[in-house]
Amino acid sequence: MLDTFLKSLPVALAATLGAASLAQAEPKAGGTLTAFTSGYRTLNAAVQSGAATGAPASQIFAGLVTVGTDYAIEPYLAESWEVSEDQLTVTFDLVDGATFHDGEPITGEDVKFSMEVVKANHPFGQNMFGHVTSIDTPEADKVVLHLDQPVPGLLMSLQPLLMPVLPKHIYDDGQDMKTHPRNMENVVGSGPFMVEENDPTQRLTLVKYDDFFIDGRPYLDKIVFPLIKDPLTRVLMLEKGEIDYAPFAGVRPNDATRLEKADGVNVTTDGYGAIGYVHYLELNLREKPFNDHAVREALAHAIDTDFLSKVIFGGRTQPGTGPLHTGNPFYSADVPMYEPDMEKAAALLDEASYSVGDDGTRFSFVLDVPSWAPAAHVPMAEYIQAQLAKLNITVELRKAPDFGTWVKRIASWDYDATMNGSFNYPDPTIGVHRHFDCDNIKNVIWSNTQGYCNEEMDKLLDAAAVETDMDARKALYADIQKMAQEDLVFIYMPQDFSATVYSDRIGNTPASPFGALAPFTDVYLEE
Amino acid sequence: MSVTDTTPPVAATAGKPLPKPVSPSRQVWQMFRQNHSAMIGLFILFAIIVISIIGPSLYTVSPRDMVWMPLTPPGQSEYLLGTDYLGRDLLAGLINGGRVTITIGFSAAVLTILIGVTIGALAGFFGGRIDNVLMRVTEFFQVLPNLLFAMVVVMLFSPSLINIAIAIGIVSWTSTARLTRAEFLKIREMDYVKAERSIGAGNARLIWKVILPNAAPPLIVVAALSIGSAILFEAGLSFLGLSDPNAMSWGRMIGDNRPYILDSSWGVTFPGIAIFLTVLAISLVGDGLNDAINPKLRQR
Repeated sequence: MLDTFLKSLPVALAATLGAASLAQAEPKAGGTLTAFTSGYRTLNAAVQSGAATGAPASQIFAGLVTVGTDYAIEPYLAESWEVSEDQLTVTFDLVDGATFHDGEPITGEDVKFSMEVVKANHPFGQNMFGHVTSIDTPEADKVVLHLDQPVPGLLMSLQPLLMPVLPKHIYDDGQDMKTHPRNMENVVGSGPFMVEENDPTQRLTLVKYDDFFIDGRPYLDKIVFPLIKDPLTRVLMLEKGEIDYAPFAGVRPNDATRLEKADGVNVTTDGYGAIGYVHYLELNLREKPFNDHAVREALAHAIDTDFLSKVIFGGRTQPGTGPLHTGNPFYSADVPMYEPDMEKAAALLDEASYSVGDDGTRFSFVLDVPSWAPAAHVPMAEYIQAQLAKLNITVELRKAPDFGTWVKRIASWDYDATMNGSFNYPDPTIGVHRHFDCDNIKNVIWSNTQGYCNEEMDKLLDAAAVETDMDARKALYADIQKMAQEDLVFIYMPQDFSATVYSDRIGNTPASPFGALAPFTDVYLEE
Repeated sequence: MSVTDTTPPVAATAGKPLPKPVSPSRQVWQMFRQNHSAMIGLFILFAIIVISIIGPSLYTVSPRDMVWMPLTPPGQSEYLLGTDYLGRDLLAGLINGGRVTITIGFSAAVLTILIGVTIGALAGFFGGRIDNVLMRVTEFFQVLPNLLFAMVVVMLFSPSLINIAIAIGIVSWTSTARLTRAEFLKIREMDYVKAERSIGAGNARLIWKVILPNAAPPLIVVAALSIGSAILFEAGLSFLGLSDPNAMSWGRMIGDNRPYILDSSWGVTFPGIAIFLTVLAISLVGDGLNDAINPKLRQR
């Protein structure tokens, strides 16, 4: 039942984005959808990345485009666009009559302002829009972007999660955008839902915006995001049907098995392709012993990611093979593989003159375990500790008490090794280049903190960033993935178990590559 | 020797030899032995300690190795008690965890007694301004929420075994200090203390050699019981995720397996039973000691 349902999803979504609906049931208007939040600091996705802000923000704010299945760019606030021959000018036509939630019209000026805000404040602002040199608004409903080089991933970055269209008349008052009071109070958005009640200690309630620029949408009357922090409580509520829709549910693989057995509850791992959440063991490449390629190779042979994904994560995650998520359009499986082989690992270490010393160990190191993904990182770290003990390598685990402590250690390069993970985001220039570029060796978290620099790699990255031919670009990324694995920049772990848990009564469940972080314009409830 | 020597002086009667005086520790043991529940407690405790010391060399499965499918229920594999969420043997975890748990319990209790007795003794013996200052400090620690304060200490200095023991020690010494102070206040006015003082004994001698041995009985009971509460405290911290990631303790097993409780109740049940049995045994022994040591209760 689940299978046929999932198979019909792409069809249903494609159809509703077009004109006629081919879905089994006719969408019905009305109803309240209950989701959940684990806590958010702001509702403005222009200044904060991540799913906690992104899930509600993609409902409150519209973007110029949305991303459909198979990464097709679909019109949203922009009804059409035109890319010039030299790929350096992009012209957008906005839909007529679109208004913000306070009734003010949405104009090109707002789009221009929003892009400038994102460029200056969003963690990936520069990666996404760094090559946008100027923005013109020749008419109220026209926006022209001028680029200094082709940016293949540009359109992908213009959907609401990464480029929400903000009301200039509210925000353009000289206050710091990151701490602007209107990010949380009296939020005026441009999307299908508006904020009715925002109490971050209790719940966030969104209601349908009646004058939304797509006629007859959204179907839902209301979306409620109650604050539920404890994962176990979440699982029980989902099981009882008290939550209809839980993206980034934070459930563990064993909970997913449990929930699948519950009546009227479905679990899917679709809809996370564009986020591309990968996990890896990050080694500080500046210092002994990890500056030695042979040591990293030994570790790669000792750590069996296949075992981790099949046994520890119950076969519900894909083993990681490189910097790109298997759901990424540029993913390539043609990379060097390091078969699990403890004897070879020991031999490599012996050759690299890390033989077992008088104290019975080869060497010891501290493995930092961040606090933000314990369900993934703790089992991985404990597995690595047990596995390397067999090679006489002592691993001391150091669990960070909070996010800040861990960020400080890693960003100041003051660590031996850490469990880590990051998002690919739809275009590799945003989420992948940052870890490999020589120029990005910075004291910033999720940059090239491990200190990897290879000129060959830099050349490939630079070429891939501007290549506009899809096949040529794919070939470049295949080489990049190969080189990352040859150099063993990171030791890849199983990909994240990101799951959406949703009730049977939801129609048109978001299933695009942005999944839950895409607008719920077409979602409806069957009663 | 001490006031606990309560053997009444027997009037010498002609022709009969004096009965051999029984040493106080022997008296205590005799009393203790008659207390069945205390003996059961002592036996359980002894068994747990023996298993913790020699168990790992008899049962050689490593508590860290992933040996079987994760979350295997008890009795469905060669691993008797089943496996945890990483497929590690729970029995191996229990056997190896005992050492860590009991070590933390003992070290925290030692620290509790050390701080508590020192502060209580100084306050009770000197009185006056010193008493005032020390008791205000004690009250300050008393009004701090124990668990929260311990969490802050552990978080601040990373959760290692030593830090956890220190954190438990510094939040639990206050009642020992109050008890010691009360004993000292009472005993320092006793005639034999005054006599000692009159023959020129210094403060240090009075505190350590004269008063403390006489204040010891209730303190021994408190010390025994505080091992139990330290073990419980460690389990509480671990339950909240504050355990040394490099050492297997019973509390940590509970904390680790808690997220999987819906699917594998055994992962938390077995270490829970182990903690329960240990703390129960310690309480029984402590109560037995209390009954045996306290001369007033002995008359009953």
